[in-house]
Parts: sequence; C-alpha cells; structure tokens
Amino acid sequence: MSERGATDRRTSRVPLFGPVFAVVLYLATVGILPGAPSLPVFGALVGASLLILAFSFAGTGSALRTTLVCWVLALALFAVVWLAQRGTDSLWLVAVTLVAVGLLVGYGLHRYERVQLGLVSETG
Amino acid sequence: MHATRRAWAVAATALVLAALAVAFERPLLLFAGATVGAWLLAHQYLFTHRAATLDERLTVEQSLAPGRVATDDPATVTLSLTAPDGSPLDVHAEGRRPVAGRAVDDADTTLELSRGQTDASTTFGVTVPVAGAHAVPQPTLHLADGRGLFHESIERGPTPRLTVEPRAPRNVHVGAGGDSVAAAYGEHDAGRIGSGLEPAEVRKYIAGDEAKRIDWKATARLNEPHVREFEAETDRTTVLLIDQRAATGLGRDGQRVLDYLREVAIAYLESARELDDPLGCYAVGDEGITVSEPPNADIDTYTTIREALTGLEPTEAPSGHGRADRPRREARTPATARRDAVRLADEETPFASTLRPFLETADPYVERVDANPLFAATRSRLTRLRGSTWTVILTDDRDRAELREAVKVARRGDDHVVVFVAPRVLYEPDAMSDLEAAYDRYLDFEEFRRSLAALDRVEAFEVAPGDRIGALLAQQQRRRQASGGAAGTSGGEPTEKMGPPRDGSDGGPTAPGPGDGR
Repeated sequence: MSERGATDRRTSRVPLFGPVFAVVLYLATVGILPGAPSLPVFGALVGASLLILAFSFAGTGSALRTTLVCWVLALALFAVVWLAQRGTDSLWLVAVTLVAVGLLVGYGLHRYERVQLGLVSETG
Repeated sequence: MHATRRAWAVAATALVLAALAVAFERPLLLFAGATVGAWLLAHQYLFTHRAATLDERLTVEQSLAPGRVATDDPATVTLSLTAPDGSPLDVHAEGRRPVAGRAVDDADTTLELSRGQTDASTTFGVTVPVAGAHAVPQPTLHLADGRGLFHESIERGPTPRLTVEPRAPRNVHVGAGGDSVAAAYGEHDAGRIGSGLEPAEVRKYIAGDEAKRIDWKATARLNEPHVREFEAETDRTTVLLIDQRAATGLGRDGQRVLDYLREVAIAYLESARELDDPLGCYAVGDEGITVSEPPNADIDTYTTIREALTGLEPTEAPSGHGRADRPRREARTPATARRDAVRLADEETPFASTLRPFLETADPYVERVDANPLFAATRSRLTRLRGSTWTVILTDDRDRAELREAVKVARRGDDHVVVFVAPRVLYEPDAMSDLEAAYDRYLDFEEFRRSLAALDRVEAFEVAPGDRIGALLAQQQRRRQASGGAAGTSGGEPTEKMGPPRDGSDGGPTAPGPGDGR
C-alpha cells in the first residue's frame, strides 16, 4: 500500500466541502450585491459560512472541538480585517495584514507541533 | 508538519480571494479568504493535537529473533503498533533494516494502522553480511490526517541490537583434558649452549676456551677465571600436515572441524614467519595429497601456505567408501593382534578357532592403514625430509589407528610431533543434546589423546569449540557432584577422572606452539 493510501481512500469520500461552498456563497453574494452589504445581510452571510464550515467537520471524530476552534479562528480573522479596515483606508494593506496573521498562526502551529513531537527543541 | 498539495491549494484559494478583494475593491472577499484560511488553520490545529495524542498513546514495539546470527543468516524483525483507544491518525509505519542489512526475499517492511484501528503488526527478515553489532533503527512512522492536508514523519520505538558473528571458528579451545593451554609462540631455544644472545650460565674457565669469552666481572667477583655461556639459537623446520578429507566438514557452516584446524595451522604459520623458521605444509584429501609445499623460509612460501590454508575446503569422499562422517571402529594394530593370537592360542573354543586365522597375520592391517591418505602422506612426504623436523599433524579422531600409525611414522629419528586432534563429538550438531552420551564419548577421546601423548616425543592436544568443551566440563562437574553424593551414601564409587595427570606422564599441556623448547 502506498504511503498515504488509507488517507487517500478516506479523503476521497470527503471532498473539500467546507471551503468550496463558503467561497461559492461569498462569490454569489458579491455578484448579487453591487455594493457593501448591510449589517444583517453581512451577519447572515458570516453565520451561513460558519455553519457550512461546521458541517464540513462532521464525521472527523472531534467535530465539536474542531468546529469551535474553526469558529474562533474565523472570528479572530474577521476581527483582524475589521480592525485593519478601521485603521487604514488601503484595502491591500488590510489584505496583507490578514495574510500575515494567517501565516503567523499557521507557522506557530507548525512549530508547536514539531516541539510537541520532539522533532525540534524548544530553543531550536 | 508538512502541508500536502491539497493544503497548499486551499491556502492559494484564500490568497486569491484576498487578491480579488483588493483588485475589485470588495472587502467582502477578504472575509471569504478569512473563512477559508480559518478552515485550513483549524485542520492544522486538529492534526497537531492528534499527532501529539498519538505520540503519547501509541506503543511501538520492535523485536528481533534471534538476536545473534551468523553472517548472511536471516533474523526476523517483528514490528507492532498498539493504540489502545484507536489511532487518531492514519499511520504508515516503515520498518528499517540495519545500515548493512539486506531484505530477505523482498519482504514487505511496511505496516498500516488506519484511523480507529487499535493494533497492527508485521514481520520481515533481514540478513547482514558484515559481522559485528548492528542496531535495527527505529521504524519511521508517517502520520497523515483524514483529509490529506497534512502529514508528518517521526521515528519511534526501540532499537534492538543484532549481533552478527562471522562464519569462522570462535573461542577456539586448544588444550588437553578440557584444560586450555596457552600457546607459547615466540622465540625458541635450541636446548643447548651455543653462540646466541641470551646468557645461559657462567662456568669456570677451562683450558682451550677463547680469551674473549672470559667474563671479567664474574672473574673479578669469584676470584678465578670464568666464562659466560650463551644459549644457542636455531631455526626450527616445521611441517604442517593438515587433514582436509570429507570428514573434516563436520560441524556448522563456518565452524567445521577443518575451520578450527585451519586456525591452529595459521597460528603456526604466523609464528614461523615471525621467527623466519622454515615451514612446509601438506594437505591431505580423500584422494591423497592436495597441497604440497616443502619447508622453506622465504616470504613466498609463507604466502603460498597461507593462501593454501585459507582456501582449504573438505574434499569429497570417494564413492564406495561409505559415508565420510560415519565414525570408524578403531582398527586393530599388529601388536594387539599378536596379543590376542597368543591369548587364544591355547583355547579350543569355536570362537578361538574361528578368529585364529585372522589374527595370525598382520598384513591386512598394514595394507589397510597404508591405503589411508594421512598415513600414506606421512610416510611418503615426511620421511623424505632431511634434518630435524617438527611435525604438526592436524586432524580429527575419526580413524584413530591410522592417526596413531601416522604419528609413529612422523617421529622418525629425533623428530618431535605435535598432534592437534578435533574430537568429533564436539562438532556434531546434535551430539550435545545428550550431554551424558557426549561426555562418555569425550572420555573415550581423551583416553585416545593420552595414548598419543604417551608416545615418546609426541604431544597431543585437542582442538574444539570453547563453548562446547565448557558444556562438557559442566557435565563433568555434575557427575562428580552426583557421584560424590552417592559415595557418601553407598560407601563410595570411583569417580571418573578427566584431565591430564598431575605428574605430566602423558606429555601434558606443556606448550603446543612452535615456541616449545627442544
């Protein structure tokens, strides 16, 4: 069996349901609404996207924990966008801030995992 | 943690959404990118958490059987994974071989522990062609999450050590009666006074001594002329006569009779080379002499003999002569035949009258022994050598009468003979399963060895695997204890005595090496 054979079999049954549907939802909203959405619409949109993500974690074994983590992360990133928008009018600066925060969190998790598994020392 | 292409695709999607937000000035797409990013980061967290959990709970066991093998012999590695609560990740374990190891029959060294599975195990064979201690490395565990977004490789588990022994004799025992003797390899004196370098004695000056030999210090001290004598040094011509007949193939591969005899022969070779002693070598196969190297002291001779010894393999027994490994009954000698004839001369029983014609002549015996390759080689080659020769015979105890007669022929004139005999009982693979019987056979051999050593100018030693002789000695101890206990209750039974007599009458273990005095 190949190295990740079992994984491939499993993932073939679970496509990238969450991100695909979330992106479709957002793109559809952008296409339908010519300007910025009102607060209720925005709230409904965010809620719907978070529900889609929650559904995508069904059957993973730790659905509740992962869903909560995902929601916290999503809300944190939304907060970053919101705060960045309040601080600057430059949209690309907001985008760069969002990407930087995302990369920082991702790299932090990566390092944390390697320390946990003893692949690197805490100081290295 | 390593991201797969799928994870990078998701991350790229988030980046594209952010870029589109800037390009079309639609901040809503930034939230779309944040949503996708959060989903990916959540999975990254999930993987991290599960990997740590798995590392904590997973038991990786790796064992070897057997832990000690000969080179190129297979050892079995058993790799097992146990996760009592079920594995939180897909685990693909990859067993590894020692650095110098090879797979046996392309054995599958991999193991799968799917998510939720509690245990899995596999076995695979390894061979190592290099002797030494080899560690089996920790298996590599490839961890993967259920969606194929992240994976990680870690090494866990014990590293059992595989001891690989060379296919060569080890723990070579050379001795007598179970006692090892140290080979006194080194310079050898001639046993007489001469013009050497080692001082021997100081004696009174007698008329005719050269003035330059006067030891003036001794003369001044003793107040009359004294002369210092020195030990004479001499070269010793040594001839190795090594048996390579099919019977010497007895034993496990690499630890056969011939392999042990070869070790002793090579030790002689090295000693002779150090001392620049003339050395000759004759190897005897089933069909006759296979190696014939007359004594010489040049480097080419040593090299040739070493190559010949190293390449010696047991020859094939000629067909029609019975099995090579079947021990022969000891043949009767002319002397015993004559004794039996005298004893039966006056008897008028049918038994005596039947045997009498067979005992009246020793010719059949002479013909039979003469046809034996070892005896024939001894008689044809050694008797041709000129000067004093130190003959070293290396063989087993299969044909004792032949060996005895060969030794008698080899000690022609004033020559010395050293016999190294391999007791077959200590090489037969199954012989040690019955220690009692093996010990009895060893006692029989020991009696034979003593009879050889009792011959004038003959030393006889046993060559055997040290561990096996140790097992026999332990058996001897048990017997002594048992008979000692029985003696205390039944009034005493004679205990068996093994080992060289303390008076050294068997010519005992004085020094088997070329460094013996003569």
